[in-house]
Amino acid sequence: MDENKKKQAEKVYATLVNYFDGKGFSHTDEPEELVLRCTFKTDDLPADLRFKIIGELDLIHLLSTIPVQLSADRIEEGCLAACSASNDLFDGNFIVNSEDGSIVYKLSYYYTGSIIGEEMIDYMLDMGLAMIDRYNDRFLLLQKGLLSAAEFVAQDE
Amino acid sequence: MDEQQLQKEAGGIYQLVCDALDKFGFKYRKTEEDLRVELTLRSSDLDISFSARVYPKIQLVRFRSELPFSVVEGNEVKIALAINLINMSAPSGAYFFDAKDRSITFLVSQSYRGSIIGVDAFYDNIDCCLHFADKFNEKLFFYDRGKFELDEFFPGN
Repeated sequence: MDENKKKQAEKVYATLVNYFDGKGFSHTDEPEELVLRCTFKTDDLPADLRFKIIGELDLIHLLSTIPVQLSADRIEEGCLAACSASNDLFDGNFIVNSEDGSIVYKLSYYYTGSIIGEEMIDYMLDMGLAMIDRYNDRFLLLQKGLLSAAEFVAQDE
Repeated sequence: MDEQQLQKEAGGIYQLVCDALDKFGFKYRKTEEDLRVELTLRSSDLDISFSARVYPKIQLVRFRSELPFSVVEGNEVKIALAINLINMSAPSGAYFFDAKDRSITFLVSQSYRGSIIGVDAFYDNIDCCLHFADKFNEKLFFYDRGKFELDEFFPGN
């Protein structure tokens, strides 16, 4: 990575860390990797989020883990449900990892030649938490065979 | 910010989006009242219908390209598997599959909330759309038509 990109990435990472410190949110940092991890308590299960600054691409990247693991026989339905749920969103998308059954919500933005403000990070965090809160029960029901992909977003209708 | 300020801010962002398209040398149609641009990119394989729109209230730009085919009825699961596999590899943007109308879209979004976003960030968003269109649109078409297998999306994995 060239020196300018590295400096820019470090600046964005510093903004991210400052945001969390300013809010008093606890976090675990991996500064060499420009990664910040945090866990928030929701109504039921804890929500794990991972921010990463991808310097080579000038991206601020968030993965919010849905605390449900799909078994092999639920992967196809899970992939259909991820597509359904993603279509229902205005920003970001869900991804099912068909190898290990994990599910994440992904949100990322470019910061090339830009100055990222804490309001954007606040928005990303809100979205990451809101997606876990809104969808983790549905993915759990899907995993248990009590909800189909076709019914996945019908809950909102 | 009040609505007037949001609208003014969005106007500035819209100009930056147009500037980014100008950097590519693309000809496009502007609908200024909706803060939207549209164009058709003609390539050697599939033509790409591309649009970008600024959303003032949520301070977001969405870049969208639509694939020019409908998924064959009955292929919903196989397409959902492919979409999730491709999206796992995408640090920004994602394919979206709507099983109801069997359409596939590629979307990448850019927040500008509380930030100063430069034209190069919008250039990167557009470039992301083009990169994925070039890499996967035709593969998705041939995969849907049964001429391509899932493991051929990422040969060597």
